[in-house]
Parts: sequence; structure tokens; C-alpha cells
Amino acid sequence: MSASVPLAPLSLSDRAGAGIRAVSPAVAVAMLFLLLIAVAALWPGVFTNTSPNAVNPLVALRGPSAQHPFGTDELGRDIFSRVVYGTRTSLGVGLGATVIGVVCGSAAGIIAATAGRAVDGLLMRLCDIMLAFPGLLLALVVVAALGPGSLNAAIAIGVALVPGFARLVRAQALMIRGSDYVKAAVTFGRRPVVIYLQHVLPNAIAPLLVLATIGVGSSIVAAASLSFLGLGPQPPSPDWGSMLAAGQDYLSVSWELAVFPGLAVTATVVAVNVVGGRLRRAFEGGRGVGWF
Amino acid sequence: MTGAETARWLGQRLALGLLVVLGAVTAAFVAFRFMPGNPVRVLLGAATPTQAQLNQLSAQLGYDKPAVVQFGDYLWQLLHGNLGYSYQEQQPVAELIGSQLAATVELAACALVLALGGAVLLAVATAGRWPFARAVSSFLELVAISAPSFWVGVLLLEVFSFRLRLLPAIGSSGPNALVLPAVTLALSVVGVFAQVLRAGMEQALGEPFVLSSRARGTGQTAIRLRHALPHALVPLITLTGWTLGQLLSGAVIIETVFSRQGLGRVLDTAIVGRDLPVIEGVTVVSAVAFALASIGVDWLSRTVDPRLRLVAV
Repeated sequence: MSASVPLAPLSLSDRAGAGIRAVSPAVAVAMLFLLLIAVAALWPGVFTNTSPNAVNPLVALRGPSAQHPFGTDELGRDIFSRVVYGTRTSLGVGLGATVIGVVCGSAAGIIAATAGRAVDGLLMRLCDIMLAFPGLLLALVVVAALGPGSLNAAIAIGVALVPGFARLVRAQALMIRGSDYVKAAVTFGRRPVVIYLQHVLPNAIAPLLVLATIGVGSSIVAAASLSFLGLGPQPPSPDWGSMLAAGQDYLSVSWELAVFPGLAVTATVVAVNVVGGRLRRAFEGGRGVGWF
Repeated sequence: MTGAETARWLGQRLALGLLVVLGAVTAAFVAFRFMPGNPVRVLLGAATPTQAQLNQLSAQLGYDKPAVVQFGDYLWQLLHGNLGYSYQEQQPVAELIGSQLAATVELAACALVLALGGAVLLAVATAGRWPFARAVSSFLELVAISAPSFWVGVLLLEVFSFRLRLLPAIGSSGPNALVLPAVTLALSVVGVFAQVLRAGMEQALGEPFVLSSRARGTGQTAIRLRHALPHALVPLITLTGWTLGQLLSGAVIIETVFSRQGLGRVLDTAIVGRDLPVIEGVTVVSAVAFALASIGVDWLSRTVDPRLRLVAV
């Protein structure tokens, strides 16, 4: 296909057989939203001139107005500005956790696939033990051991992701190792390290990327949950989860404090899941569970 | 499957489960011995103790012994069903967990029933028909999957407790106080249930037995209930472990949002207050629950789908 051919809008009947290039309106909107979120995380000043920590008790707990589009919190701080500035922390913990999970998980998976039966058995039993706990519970226990804070929250959530990635990478490595092109490389006398870097790793990336995308979504929720419980980033740094926790005390007088930070988490995770679902279908082929 | 085979399989699974529980106990023990901050100091809170007081309390709690001896003591007590003594609540951990377990099980059971009912309704209504309703339903499922449960809880509180004043905002007394927490917890799993059920039903609807049943004049809904639904329920069995985890970790959040009693709240309080014996106790209890659940699920799957017996443990 030449580069000048524009992408035709998809009808529903096309979608099942559509290739990786096809982007439905839902996916396009999700990607655009994620772009905005990324800008808010990197340069929050683009969206607001108000400081997220400027206290003004005179206008505490006001509804939305021209000056404060999302209203103000119990200290008179601008909620819109705090949501925008909170993007960096909330997204950072989620992304950081996923990176920790992917890197440590891939390393463990490759080691399990290559280091012989004893190491493989040990690592996989370790994964079984970790998988025996729900992710959030595991993260809670790790945070309990490390103490609260942004970095510790990211480590805790990342640790909980490790066994899933380790299993995936191990299975991929074992599968790819049995393939003909690896046998050919072995026949040509390539060293194992070269084979792993040149053949196994690139071919294992696709499913890893899909799982990582979905992992980012669940990590953002987990991060917000930890900070809602007061175990994530510490005040006064703006953060979606802790804003909601603070807002809960003022539910009877102000709805803005409870609605907007939660909306930010949910919209971000919906967008991540839409893109992740599209990626999964692109790699696995066939029609997904839903339209989104 | 012969009896001997089943016994062998069960023995292997139990051994593996025991290994998992032992591993979890070890991991929890090691993690808390290496954590920053002296637990004895945390226990004394704001008070500034003398060194003599610190030493006395350390000795009383066994922290002055070598780590290996402490671990041995802990395992020995565990074998006798003794989970230790809570620093904060001043009562045995087993008693504490026992007294709070019922509230969490009640919440989780109600949520599970609501979620299963809702998912069956959604799937039967939208599988393979009415494209618009199906799209709306899958979008709502996606939002339910993505929204953090504490936000859903806070929104429900805002609407039903503070605006409409229909239901109580806090507490765990009476069936009214159970409605909002159970709905919140149900919403955290209903999206996945509905998607899995619908996918299974749409697959089953393409099978020849559906066509032959249609030819004999069976109605759309009757086909879905009688033929497609039983097929679609099988994948839900394999989701049991995930569901249990989701309900338990959801309980931690939701019990906090609604100020309910329960295991989740006990764990949250223990983590904030560094109440080690309680954290270790909850870890052990949930490890045992998950090990048993996973054996139960696999056994059920083997019974339902005999093809799985060909695959080793």
C-alpha cells in the first residue's frame, strides 16, 4: 500500500478482518486522550496557570466557576490545577511499576528458560507463591514492609506484576527456542547469547507489549488505591488517589472534590484499556470480546 | 478417571499447596524482619521509652532472639493454630480474624450473587443481537472494569447517602448498610463476568446444536438460557481464583470507604500501625484460602471437562 492512500473509515463489518493499521474512532479518541494526559504529565503549565498548592481559605469548597473550572477544595486550592499536576505522580507510579514488572519479569523469565531445570523449578514455584495472592494484597504487604511513598508504591505494585511477566516471557522463550529459525542459527554456530538477543527477545516483544499496556491500566488503578489508603505519595503533592481520600470527608458539602480526580483515573484507564485491547487483537487476530 | 489417579493428583496438588503456603509464610516473615523502623518503637508510639523499656519489650516479644529461632518459634506456634498476638488490638490474631471474617464473607457473597446475576442478564440480553445495546453494554462493562472501586463507592455514597438520603453512609449494621458496599464490590467484577459470558455465548450460538434447536422452533431467549449459557459458564469456573482475589482486595478498599468492619479493614489498620502479627496472620489465612480454592477449581474443571485430565498437574 502506498503511503499516500488515506485510511478509509471502517464500517463494523470490516472490523473483524481489519489489519494493524486500521484505527476505529474509539481507539483514535483514546489515543488522543492519552496524548493530552502525557502532555499534562510532562508540562502541566500548558493547561493551567494556577499553582496546585496555592491556598486561599476565602474560596474554600466552592463549585465550578470561570476562575476555577472544577471548583476548589477544603483549603481553597484549585481542583483543576491539582488534577492536572497530579497526572505526573499518578501516571508516574503506574508506569514506573509496569517498567519494574516488565524488566524484572523478563529477566526472571529468560533465566528460568535457560538456566536449567533446578533454577526453572525454583523460579516457577516462587511465581506460584506470588500469584497465590491478589496483586493489590501483595502490593499492600510490600508497602507495609517498605513504608509509604511514591517510589515504594511503584516498587510494591511492580513486584506484584513480576510473576505474570516472568511466566509469559518464559513460555515465549521456550516456544521460540523450538522454532526453525533458532535451529538454523544454532546450526550456523551462533553463540547462545547472540541468539537470545537477536532472535528470542525481538520475537517475544509483541505479547510482552500487549500485557504491559494492560498492566499500565491496572497499575494506575492500584497506585490510586494505595494513595487513597494513604500509602502512596505523601501530602501536599497533588495526586488523584489522595485527593479522593481527602474529598470523602466533604461529600455532604462538595461533590467536585470526589468526582473530578476519580474521573481522571477512570478516563485514563479506559483509554489505556481501549488501546491495549486494540493491540491485543492486532497481535492475536480475530475479534475481541467487545467492540472496544 | 480411576480412584488411584485422582488420589495421586490430589496428593500432588495438596503438596504443592502446602509449599505455596509455607513460601508465603516465609516471605512474610523475612519481609517484616528486614523492614525499616524498629517494630518495638512503633508499638510504643509517641512515648519516648528508655533503653531498658525497649529491651524489656523486645525480650517479651521475642525480638532479642536470633532470626532463625524466631522463625522456628513462629512456625511451631503456627502448627498449633496460634497466629500470635495483635499489638494494637490486644487480642489473639486468630480471634481477631475470626471475629471479622463473617462481615467480609457476607459482603463478598452478596457482591458475587449480584455480579453473577447482572452478568447473566447482560449477556443473555445482548449476546449476538441488537448491535446498539451490545455496544452500550460493552462500553459500560469497560468503564466498570476500569473505574477504581473506591471512586465508585464514593460516587454511590454521594448520590444515595448525601443527596437522596436513602441509605446509610457508614457502619455495618442491618441489611441497608450492606447495599452500597455490595453493589460497589459487584461492579468491580461484573464487567469481566459479562464479557467472558458474552464471548462464550456467542461462540456457542454458532454451534450446530443451536441451529437444530432453532429449526425446531425454540425462541431466542430460551436458546440462550438452555443451550448457550451452560457452555459459557465453564470459563467462569477458571476465573474463580481471580474473582476471589478481586473480592478480597476490593474488600480492603470498600470496607475503608464505607467504614465497615471486616478482614480488609483489619489488614489496612494493621499495615498503617505496623501490627506485624496481624499482617502475617492475614497473609497465612489468605494463602490457605487461595491454595484450597485453586485445588477446588481445578478439580471442578476436570470434572466438568474430562479432556483436562490428559494434561499433567
